[in-house]
Amino acid sequence: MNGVRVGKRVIGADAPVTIGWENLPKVEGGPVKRMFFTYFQPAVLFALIAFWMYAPDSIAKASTAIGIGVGFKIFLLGLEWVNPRHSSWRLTWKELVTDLFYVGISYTLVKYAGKHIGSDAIAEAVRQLGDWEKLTWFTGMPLLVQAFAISFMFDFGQYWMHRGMHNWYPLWLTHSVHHYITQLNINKGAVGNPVELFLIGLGIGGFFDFLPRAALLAGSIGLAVGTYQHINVRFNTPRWWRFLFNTTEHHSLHHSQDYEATRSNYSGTYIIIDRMFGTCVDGEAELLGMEGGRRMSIREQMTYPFTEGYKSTKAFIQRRLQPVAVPAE
Amino acid sequence: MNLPYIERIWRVRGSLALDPPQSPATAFGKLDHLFQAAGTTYEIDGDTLTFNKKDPLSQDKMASFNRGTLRVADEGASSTLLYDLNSNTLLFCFALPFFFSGIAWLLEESRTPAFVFAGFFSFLYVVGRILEPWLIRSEFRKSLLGNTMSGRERPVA
Repeated sequence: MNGVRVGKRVIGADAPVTIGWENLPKVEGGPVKRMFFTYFQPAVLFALIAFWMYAPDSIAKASTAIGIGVGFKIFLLGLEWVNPRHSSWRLTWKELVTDLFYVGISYTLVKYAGKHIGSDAIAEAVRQLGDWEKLTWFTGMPLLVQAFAISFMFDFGQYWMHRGMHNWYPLWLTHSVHHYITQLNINKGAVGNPVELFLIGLGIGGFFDFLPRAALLAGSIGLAVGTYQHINVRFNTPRWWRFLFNTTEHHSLHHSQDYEATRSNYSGTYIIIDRMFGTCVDGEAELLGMEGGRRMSIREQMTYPFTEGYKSTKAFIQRRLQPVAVPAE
Repeated sequence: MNLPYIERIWRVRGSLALDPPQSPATAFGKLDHLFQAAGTTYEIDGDTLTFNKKDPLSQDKMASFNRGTLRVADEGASSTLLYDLNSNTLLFCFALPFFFSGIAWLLEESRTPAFVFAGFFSFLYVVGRILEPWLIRSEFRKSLLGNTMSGRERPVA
């Protein structure tokens, strides 16, 4: 395979990828279907923004946000069924059970750990440290500006955390497990080692009590854009959307079996951050995973960072202690 | 160990009449594509095929079954496929409601989501216990009888 030159890099030399929007398939079907799958994403985004800006305080609560998130995901599961992007990514019963197991772990054990030793604890400490009176200039700004600022800053942090995971071995150990998924489905964002989910979650939870309305609005922007990262639906995503926002096409390249392709599209919501730092590649991939698409069992997903970390550390120490190989007699 | 009732949690057994009758070699030949999958090993001993699947791919049609046996009982005028399949995934899904109930019991703050997931997995188990045997049976039927449907089964155009 020759691959395609994108900037200074060659993408698709190890595994097939499609580069360039003009080379991607379009939604097939009648005018109603095509219109639905073109405007669905922006319509939901604007509806959610309108809801969180104008809903009365009695219903604009975190519990409503959770309810909307769950309902939205169930609806998207239906869309996967109706208009899949690749039939080779079809959700099976076993795949659903596995994915939901990880979602369940995120909502219980990982959240509990976050509350007591992670993000919420850090947020509380930060809140007590700072003099928040100084932030009135921020809270005085229009709600949408605050929300955009929060979601952009958060995604900026996520971009560097994620890029760090792909470049620093100890972090990669925890993140690599997520890269063993071989197809994208709506819940695949939760599939990975719980240690990684904990790291990714750092900084999310705790700030919900602080600037509630703006944070909920910021969260819903993340929901209405970031959720599509791991979805098996073919959309005719509008040009302006895919220029600004991450899409399932971008993220499938990031999960490709091609090594160079995985080193692109790190952001969760704003792909424009990748454009700023030269890591954006526009295109898509169908063949996903690591080691040629080897399937990893749940048991291995749980232990892999530790067993691999142990093996690498042991090899490193052995190299240090015995720098010169002694020939056998 | 013989656990006839408890085993039904993770074991799927069934039979499929082969009409017209097929020899074990013919039947296993038609089913061969199901076993030509990553992580699958199998061996045929006379009328019995024994298989093992280690970490099957998501789209493997038998991904839910990690081991099992298929036997073709050839009685001359008639023959039957008898299968006995083991599903660790069904067992895992059966255990999950207990696991999440345990979390609900241990971590008071996580009680609501833990019970919600315990409920999800109870429902999913029932769905899987019905759906997966049905799917594998229809896969066997399609492979074995697909091209040789008898007049009675052939849809009237």
